[in-house]
Amino acid sequence: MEILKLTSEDIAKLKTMVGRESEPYKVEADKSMFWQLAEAIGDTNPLWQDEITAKKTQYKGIIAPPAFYISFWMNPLANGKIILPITGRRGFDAEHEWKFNAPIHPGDVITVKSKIINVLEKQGKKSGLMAFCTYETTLTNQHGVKVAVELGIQVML
Amino acid sequence: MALYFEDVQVGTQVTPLVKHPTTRQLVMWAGASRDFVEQHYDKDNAMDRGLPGVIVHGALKASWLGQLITDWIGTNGILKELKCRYRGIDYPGTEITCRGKVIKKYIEDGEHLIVCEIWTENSKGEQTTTGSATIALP
Repeated sequence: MEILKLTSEDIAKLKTMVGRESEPYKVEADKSMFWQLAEAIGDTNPLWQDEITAKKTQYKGIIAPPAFYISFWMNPLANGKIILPITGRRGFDAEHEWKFNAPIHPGDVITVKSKIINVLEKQGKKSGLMAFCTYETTLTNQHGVKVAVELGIQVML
Repeated sequence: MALYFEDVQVGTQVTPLVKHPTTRQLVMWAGASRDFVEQHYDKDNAMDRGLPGVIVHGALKASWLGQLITDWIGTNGILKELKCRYRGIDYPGTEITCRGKVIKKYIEDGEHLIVCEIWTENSKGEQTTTGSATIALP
């Protein structure tokens, strides 16, 4: 696999994406997603996996762990639902911010929508030309409640 | 176990969470989170990218910082906001400690809120992920 260097033409192409909403997609949350994520991170919190204990809490049942919002299920830029107009470049996540407004329960159908809100060009000392792409993703449940908003910065170089 | 607003002050430490990631765990995270980027499980691919070996997913470290908080606050607290900045690379076979400290305590719109500074630390004491968490407590 050949890795290409980012050029100013690439950055111009990325900038054409700014403001464009991605095609929304739906994810049906289910318990097995929650416990597999919990098992992977080594998290035994009953809220994500033990219905009997979770029922006795303020949530009245199992809810999604933070890892569910953090996962690629909910990240269209990372999971390929947003196709960038450039290929073969390296990218990495620089930062993420999640606002959790309401819990996600098993059976909820989450609509994931994203848009790139800014592309900033930077010149790295060692890494050369870089593009800092800021995006916003909203997660809305089947009742129209915006359950979470994510802001992320992905760096392309 | 429940944590109450009155229990914490600015400066209170979050109970640390220690992790010993393995390549097996990275594969489990890859499958559960749908992140199939090769540098996290394919050593040849990671080395082609100039890395000494496979590396821990940033999102896995972010999830551990989430767990740091949800373990600490119990089922009565609510994690409202989580911020992470990925600063350094971590490798399987090393020890990663998640830590936090309360930096703000306030009441807003009737909610009892605290803000914690949070980070992951490698065995050299370097912070490889930094961020913050906003929490509502009873």
